[in-house]
Amino acid sequence: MRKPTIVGVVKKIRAFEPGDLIAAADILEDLESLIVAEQTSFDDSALLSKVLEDFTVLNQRNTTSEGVNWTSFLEGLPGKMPKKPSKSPAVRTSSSRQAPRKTPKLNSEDISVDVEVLSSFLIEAREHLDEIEPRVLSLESQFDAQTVNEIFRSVHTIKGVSGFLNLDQIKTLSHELEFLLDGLRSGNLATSSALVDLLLQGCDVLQKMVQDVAGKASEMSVKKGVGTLRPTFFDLSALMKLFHDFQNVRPAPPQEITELLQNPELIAKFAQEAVETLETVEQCILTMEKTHKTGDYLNEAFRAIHTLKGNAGFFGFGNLESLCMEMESLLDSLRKGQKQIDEQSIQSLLRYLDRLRALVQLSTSPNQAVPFETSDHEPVKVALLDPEANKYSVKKKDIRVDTEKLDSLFDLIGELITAESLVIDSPDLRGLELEGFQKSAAYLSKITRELQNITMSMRMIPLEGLFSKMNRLVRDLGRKFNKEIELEISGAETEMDRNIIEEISDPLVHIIRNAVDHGIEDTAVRLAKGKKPNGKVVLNARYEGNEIWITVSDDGAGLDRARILEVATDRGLISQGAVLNDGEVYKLVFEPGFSTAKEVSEISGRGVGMDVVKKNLEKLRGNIDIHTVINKGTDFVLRIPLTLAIIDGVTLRCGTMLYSLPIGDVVEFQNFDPDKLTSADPHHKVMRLRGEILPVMSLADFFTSSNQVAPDTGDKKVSIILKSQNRKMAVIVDEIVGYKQIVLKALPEFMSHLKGVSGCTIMGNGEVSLIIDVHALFHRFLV
Amino acid sequence: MGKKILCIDDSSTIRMLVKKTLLPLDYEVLEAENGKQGLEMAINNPVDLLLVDVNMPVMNGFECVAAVKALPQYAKVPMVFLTTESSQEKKDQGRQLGVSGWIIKPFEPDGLVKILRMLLP
Repeated sequence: MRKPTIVGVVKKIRAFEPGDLIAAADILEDLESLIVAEQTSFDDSALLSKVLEDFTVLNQRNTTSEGVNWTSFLEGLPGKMPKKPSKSPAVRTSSSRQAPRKTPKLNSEDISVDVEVLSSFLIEAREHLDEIEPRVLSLESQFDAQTVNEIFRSVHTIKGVSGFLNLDQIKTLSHELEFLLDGLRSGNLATSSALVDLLLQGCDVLQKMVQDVAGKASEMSVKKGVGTLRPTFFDLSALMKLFHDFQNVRPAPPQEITELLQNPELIAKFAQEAVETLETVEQCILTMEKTHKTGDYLNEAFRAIHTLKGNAGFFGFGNLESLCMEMESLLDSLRKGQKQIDEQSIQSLLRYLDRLRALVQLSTSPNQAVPFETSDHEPVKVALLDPEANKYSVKKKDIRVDTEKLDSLFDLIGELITAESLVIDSPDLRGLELEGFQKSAAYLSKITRELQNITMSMRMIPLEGLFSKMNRLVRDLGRKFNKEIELEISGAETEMDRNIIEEISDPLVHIIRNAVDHGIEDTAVRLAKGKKPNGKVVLNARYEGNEIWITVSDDGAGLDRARILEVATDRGLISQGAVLNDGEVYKLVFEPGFSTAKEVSEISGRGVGMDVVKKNLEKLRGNIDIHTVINKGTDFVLRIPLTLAIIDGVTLRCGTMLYSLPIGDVVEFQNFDPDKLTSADPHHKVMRLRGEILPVMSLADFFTSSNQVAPDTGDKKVSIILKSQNRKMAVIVDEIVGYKQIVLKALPEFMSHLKGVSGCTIMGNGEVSLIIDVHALFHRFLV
Repeated sequence: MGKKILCIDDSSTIRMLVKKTLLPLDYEVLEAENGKQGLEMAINNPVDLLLVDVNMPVMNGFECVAAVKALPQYAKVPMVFLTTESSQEKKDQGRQLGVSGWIIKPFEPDGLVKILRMLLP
């Protein structure tokens, strides 16, 4: 502990600024300890007491408002004025409460922290950081003083609290951010993309630091509420340099680039971000091409590439960086109007994109973990961080979960529902009056249903991502075939199981490719036919009952039935003179080996043809329908079951067999009244329902092929009104058994030829129920 | 009976720190999240000293102190800004409101205790 001296105290008092309470307390303490110190003479002591008294009075009063004269007080201090004995030496004898002074800790050292305070800080800091980012982003589009203030306050709070915890790096960085924001607030700085970028980068690093501390905090050992923490040392020099460049003040001392971000996990993250960034840029370029408007899109693309460049440099991917730089300068010259946005420039931008994509993949693939470097490219010492980083997570507060875990959760839910029905419908309980059990069972069912819904929704993502990729595809194909084609997308918000989306991606590409290549005619031909010169492809997704229908429609020539038959016969896919209905004929285009030689070469790059469509859809228990009108166009409808595993179904009995119908296909139930039935001919019966004429089908008759004996249950039959698209029909069954969730199982191989059945399920009592494919039922019965 | 301190700060961590520092020393600590809440609390609970942050949402520290100072019962109650604002301009602004002074964040808990003992002998 340092010993106060009179000279020292006087010095402190002279330097004292009224209002600085910490300094005031310090001076008071010094004075007190001097007064009680043994070596202080009586005279000195009395004088000091007077000084102490005056100082206390002065200090407690507000100086300016009450007009206390500091100047005269300062003049009265020893060393200037002759010694004067004091009248009333009111010596304070309070004991010295000098605290051991903590020296500020260095970054890489352990720091002791109060665990409670730390965790409070972490929660608070995260909340603030979550709020900062969207606010900073909003500044870019519109400056708003209120928003700047809010950001400032958040950063300010983080700075204030981190100081208490000796989190020096966080404090330093938030101080710099605060400085920038203050400049913005006071109007010394104007909002610019560069500034917003810098703020975002700063926030990203801040977030990383907070995360780092949080990670360290979770594993630190705690003694009496105090933990020891060693935060990772972040090299802020590069970022600081940016801050200082911005302010045009003191340059940062040069420092070595940190190895911090050179680990595989971060590289993987970089790769993912890079892919996303490139996707954004692609959208921008395509929009520019389409709308011939540049403005924001060009800026956005520029910014994204700029950021990617920085990141690449940071990770030491020299090739990537220099390629980014080339693209950036092209974008820049476009931005400055030195170059025109024309076909050529768009083309070269897209070429850059493709090369960048390839390079990102190459650089970041795991067997290339060592940063990929060209001979003369130094890693750039600029810690640019992607402003897009964490954007998604910040907004949605999501976590990443291994899809394997999700899948097994999904499987378990299936098992749970089966187990539930095994219990609830257990034959042991049959005939018992169990009121309490029924109630609990209903409660259990409710919970499993909710559980299932949530689990399913976890895997659902909108089709938007997949659909937007098709923009580029159609554009490229159009250029390749020299056709002007417009793609119209609707229903992109439709959500679908992530696994299914992956499976339909290839089929969709092939169908669209086919539509552009074979469907849509050349401009000259179109004009000759009196059509608009520009071809149109419409991509639509919608829910239809228990399925999602993805439709690809073109306004092209339509499928040529005769030609397809000819080709198919040629290639031995069908025998000469085979009789096929329209649907069967059109589906031939999906047969392996149907494609013409030209088409094979077209797609050969991928090693798959249109048959991939059929194969993938079969895997998903999906179907494809083709509707075509000569010279009007073709619709390909991919019908994909909404879920792979669990559906809400009505179970019914017909003869000795159980069947289940997806609830989405059922309109209503009616008591079957044979009197309402009208026979058009022996095979076609119809019934009237509220003025509507519906075709009637007996399920027992339909499935007689499966060789069952239908015991006559008398007149208590039920008709179920089903719908598919805009058609309805009545199906007569013996009895409705129940309505519940059913877990779909695939039919065993030897039964897979069964028509009109999409799978089976196992009931609580062990019986098997066949799940009816309503659409197929309509198709087979009505055609 | 310990002295009552009203701590007005939007950071729950700061409030926690103040509380942790002062509670063992027989001070009673009241908390408010912003100036407005602090003003309401000061009206309803007579306190012996106010620790006020400057940068707060809804009502900032300056506005809050001005409003509290205007209450007759608070004319002589010491008020301290707890702040990271160290610019001369802000200090002057604070001084004109007639506060005892300021404590620049971060502060040592012992420093806070010393100041309170100084202001509330």
